[in-house]
Amino acid sequence: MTAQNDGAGGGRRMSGSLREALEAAARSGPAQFEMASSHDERTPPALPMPMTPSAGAAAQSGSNVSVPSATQAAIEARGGSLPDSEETPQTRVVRAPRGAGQQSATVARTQLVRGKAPVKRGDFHQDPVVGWLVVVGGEGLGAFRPIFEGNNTIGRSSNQRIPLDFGDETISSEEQAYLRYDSVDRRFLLVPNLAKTNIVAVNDRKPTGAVELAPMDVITMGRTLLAFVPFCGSDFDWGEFTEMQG
Amino acid sequence: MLQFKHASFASQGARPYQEDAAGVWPGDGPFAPKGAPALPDGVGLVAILADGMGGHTGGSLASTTLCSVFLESFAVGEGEEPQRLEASLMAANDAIRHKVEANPSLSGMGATLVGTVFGRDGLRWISVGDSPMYLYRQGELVQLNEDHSLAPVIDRLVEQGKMSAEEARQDPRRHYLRSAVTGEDIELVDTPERPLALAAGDVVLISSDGIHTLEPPSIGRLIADHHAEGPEAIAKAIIRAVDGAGEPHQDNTTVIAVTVMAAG
Repeated sequence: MTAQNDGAGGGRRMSGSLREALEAAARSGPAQFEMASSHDERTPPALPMPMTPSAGAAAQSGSNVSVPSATQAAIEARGGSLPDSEETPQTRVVRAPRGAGQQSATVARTQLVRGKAPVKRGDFHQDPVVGWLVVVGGEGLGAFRPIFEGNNTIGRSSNQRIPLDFGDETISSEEQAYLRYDSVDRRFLLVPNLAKTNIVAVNDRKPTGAVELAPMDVITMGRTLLAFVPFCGSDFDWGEFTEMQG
Repeated sequence: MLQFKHASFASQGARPYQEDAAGVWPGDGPFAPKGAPALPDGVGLVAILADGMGGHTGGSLASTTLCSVFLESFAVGEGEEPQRLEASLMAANDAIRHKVEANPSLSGMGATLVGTVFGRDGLRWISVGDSPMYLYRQGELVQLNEDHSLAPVIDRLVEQGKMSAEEARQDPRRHYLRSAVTGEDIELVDTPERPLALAAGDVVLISSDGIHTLEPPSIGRLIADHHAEGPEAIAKAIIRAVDGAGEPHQDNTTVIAVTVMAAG
């Protein structure tokens, strides 16, 4: 059951300095580990509505105004959002329902789905970055966007995991394509959304299915050109970092 | 420090066995730490709930093991509350692993776990799995811990228009767990860094997922209706409502209700 940790095996060619830096960070704890601070520029997502039994009940009880509401208290304790909202800060690992489609429909109520290599939550202060897209042509030239583990939606809207909100209106507002990184096979896949009118190209080919990306591949969306720069891959994955932490 | 009163009730539902377990400390329940150790400074109440899986012997063995080892480990632990919570979770997980190693026929057993500390700083918790914990305050009910089942993942598919709300509601995969305490690596652990500040009048409800037979607004109403009568009345009313719903496959349901009162 624990064969997921494979793939970290041989052929690590990471430069000594980065490896040392990661090990130092692992020793001194996650508090000193901050990357991709540009992420902070993004607008935080709207919070979901709380489950309120009756809208007026809180007002009726009318007691202590200085006590924050249940929702506010929960958000405060959780460091910014309610549990299970799209970008809960505590959720450093985003897990897709891997393999769930193959499960039988007749199941006991409680059972465990085994997913990827274990990455303990609480080790990261935000979603760990696994690579970047750098704007090398069009609006936003010179800017970059982080790529995160799992499935990344790409679109013009700020609610996308990779928001290309630099002003190129020829990019679909939502989900023109998906960029996926899987920490088990450590590959990056670009998946065009064929339901969208706007076409995605990779190195001037126009794929109709998933394409594996190689470093410095150029993705064209609308009038914007994006160079792909991986951080994770065969040389490194965050799973190794948490293993170092023990 | 605020004062905490608690009560716990369980129902087997339509299942042939009870796989939930719940314990509190201090108290004279079945999982109270041996030798009556003193509560750590600043701690008023420690409560734990586990929902076992693994069928027949496995499920209930897993949940009872987690409750007793967690409370025992917390009582003899050292350090601040967050360290104690994490160490207790790890001790409980190790205990499951040892039991499975000693008796391989138990392989696959495990449980969800919600471990909580009520104290001077407020409420801290460590949670693995899909057993919900709610805060009721002035008429409003909010779930505090994360749901490690596939339900939030499926609900997100609905938000993205990839599945209808009805399909999502019926989907049997809602109950699949993405994380549980099984003696192996624990994939997702929810334990916020900051405590939740509690106020007099608050009710914290820790439950197994059998409570999902009731919609959250109904749970909120039941708490509101029995708020003045204390935690026994709240816990009893919720169990009664779950049993009364008459679900043909009703899962085990266990609730711990904790009410918060001003000091003195």
